[in-house]
Amino acid sequence: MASDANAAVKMLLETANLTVSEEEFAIFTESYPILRSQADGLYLPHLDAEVPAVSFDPAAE
Amino acid sequence: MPQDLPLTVKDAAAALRSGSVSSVQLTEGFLNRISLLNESLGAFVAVTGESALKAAQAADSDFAAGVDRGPLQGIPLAVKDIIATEDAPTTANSRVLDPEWGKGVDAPVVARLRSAGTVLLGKTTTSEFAIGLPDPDKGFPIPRNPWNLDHTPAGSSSGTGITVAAGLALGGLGTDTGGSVRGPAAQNGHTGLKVTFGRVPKNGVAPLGYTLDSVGPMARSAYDCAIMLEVMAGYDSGDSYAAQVPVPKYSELLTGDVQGLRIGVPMPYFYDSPEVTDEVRTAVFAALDVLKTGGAEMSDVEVPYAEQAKNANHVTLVAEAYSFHRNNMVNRWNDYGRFTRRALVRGAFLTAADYTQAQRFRSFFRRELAQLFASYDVLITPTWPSPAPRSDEMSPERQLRSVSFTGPWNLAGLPALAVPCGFSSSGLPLSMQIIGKPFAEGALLAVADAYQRQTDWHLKVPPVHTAVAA
Repeated sequence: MASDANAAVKMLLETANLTVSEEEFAIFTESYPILRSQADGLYLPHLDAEVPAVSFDPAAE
Repeated sequence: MPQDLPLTVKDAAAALRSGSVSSVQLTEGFLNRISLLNESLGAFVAVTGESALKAAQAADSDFAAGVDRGPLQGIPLAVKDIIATEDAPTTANSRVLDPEWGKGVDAPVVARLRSAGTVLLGKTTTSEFAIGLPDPDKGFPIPRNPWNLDHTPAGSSSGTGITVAAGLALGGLGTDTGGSVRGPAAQNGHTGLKVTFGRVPKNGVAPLGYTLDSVGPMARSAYDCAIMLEVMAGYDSGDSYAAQVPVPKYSELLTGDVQGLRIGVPMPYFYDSPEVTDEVRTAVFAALDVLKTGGAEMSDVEVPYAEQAKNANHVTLVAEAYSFHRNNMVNRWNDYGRFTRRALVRGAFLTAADYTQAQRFRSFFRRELAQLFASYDVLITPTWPSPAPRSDEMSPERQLRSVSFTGPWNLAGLPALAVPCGFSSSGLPLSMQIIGKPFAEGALLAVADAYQRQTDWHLKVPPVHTAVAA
C-alpha cells in the first residue's frame, strides 16, 4: 500500500512539474491515501442522478 | 488590558455621539495599543496610522457639522491582508503575490466601510493566501492567541481575530472558505459571521476557493456584526457571484426574543465525534439551555453526510485554489510557505472527476439541508471541537484528518455564526456555531444577540499585557 502511494505521488508530482524535498515527499506519501479516500467517498451510488452545482450563463457579458 | 477604550462598536458609537470621546482620540488609543502589543501578538502586517488619523479627523468634522453616516462613523476597524485597500499593499502574507495586485484601490467591501465613515487601522495577518499555517522563515508576523501566546489563534483570518479579542480595533474583516472567520472568532473568543455565499461582494479579495469564499464581519458582539453587515452586504457587478438580494436592516431584527424558535441540534458528527472535548460539549449544551429558557424549542436532528460534506468542501477548495496557484507552484515552490505548499499541492493530487463529483455531492447536500431547514429555523453545533491547540502541534496533515464543523456550511453556501459560550479549564475560549437558511443572517444574529443579552462571554478580554510581560 505504501509503495502504491509512493508511486502515485511520484507520478502526480512529475505530471504537475513539481519538485519537492524528500521530507515533503514522505509527508505527501503518508497523507495521500487519506485524501484519496476522502475523494473516493464522494462517489456515492445515490448521486447518480445529480448534476454538478455549477452554473454557466451563455448570455453573460 | 487597559479599560479606557470602549469594548464594542455599539458603545463607541454612543460615546462618539455623546461627545465623551472623539474619533481621533479613539484612533490614537487603538494605535497606541497596537504599538504596544503587535510585536508579541503578530496581529497586523501593516498599520496605516496616517490615513487612519485623517479618516478620524474627517469623521469628527462630520459629527461637528451634524453629518452622521451611521453607527460605523469614526469607528476603528481592521482589514485582513488578502483584501485590497488603497492605502496599504496587499501581500496575502506571501512572497508570491504580485506586489501590483490590488495596488491603490479599495475592494468594494472596503469602499463601503470607508463611505460609512469607518477608520481603517491597517492590514491584519492572514494564513498565506488564506490557507496553511504561519512559516517563520517567510518574514511575516507570526500570529499568537492573546489568551495564551503558545496556542494558535486559528486561521486564516488570524490577525483580525487577535485584533478584536485583544482590543486592537473594535472589529474587522475576515474571509471564510472553510472556517476562516469562525475559527479565529471561536479560538480568540468573539463573534464572527460567515455570510451566505454572494451576500458580500468579494471582488478585490485574493481568491482561495472561487465558489466558497466569503467576506464576513468579526467583532465582539452579534450586534456589532449586524451593523457592520448592513454596510458590507449588497450586490456589486464586479463580482460574478454576488447575489442580487435585498439587504435588511439587520440591527432592527435583534429583538432579544427567541420564543418559539426551532433549533435543530445535530448530535451525530457534531457532538458525538471523539474529537469533541467534554468542555466544548458542556459549554454548548449550557448555551442551548439559555436559549431554551428564553422559549426556544430544541430537537435532535441529523445532518446527513456531514463528513462527506467536509470532504467535498476540501476537494473543492484545494482544486480551485490550485488552479489559481498552479503556475507559481511550478516555478516558485520554495517561495510559498512550507505549510501553504503542503496544503495547496493537494489540488494536483485530485482528478477533474473528483472535483466534478464534489459538485454533484454539493447539489445533493444542498437539497438535503433545504429539507432539514423546512422544519428548523437554525442548527446549533460547536464551532470547533476543542479549544485552541498549541501552535507547534498544528500541521496541514492534522487538519486533513480532523473533523470540520465549519466546512460543510461553506459547501452549501449557508450563513453560519461563531458565538463565544465559555472557557476551558485552561483559560481558552469556547464557541457555539449557529447555522441558518440562505440569506438568513438576520435570524442568526438575532439568536446570538438574544444569547449575548443573557451572557457576557463575548465581553471577556484576555490578560494580554500580563502575558506579554511574561
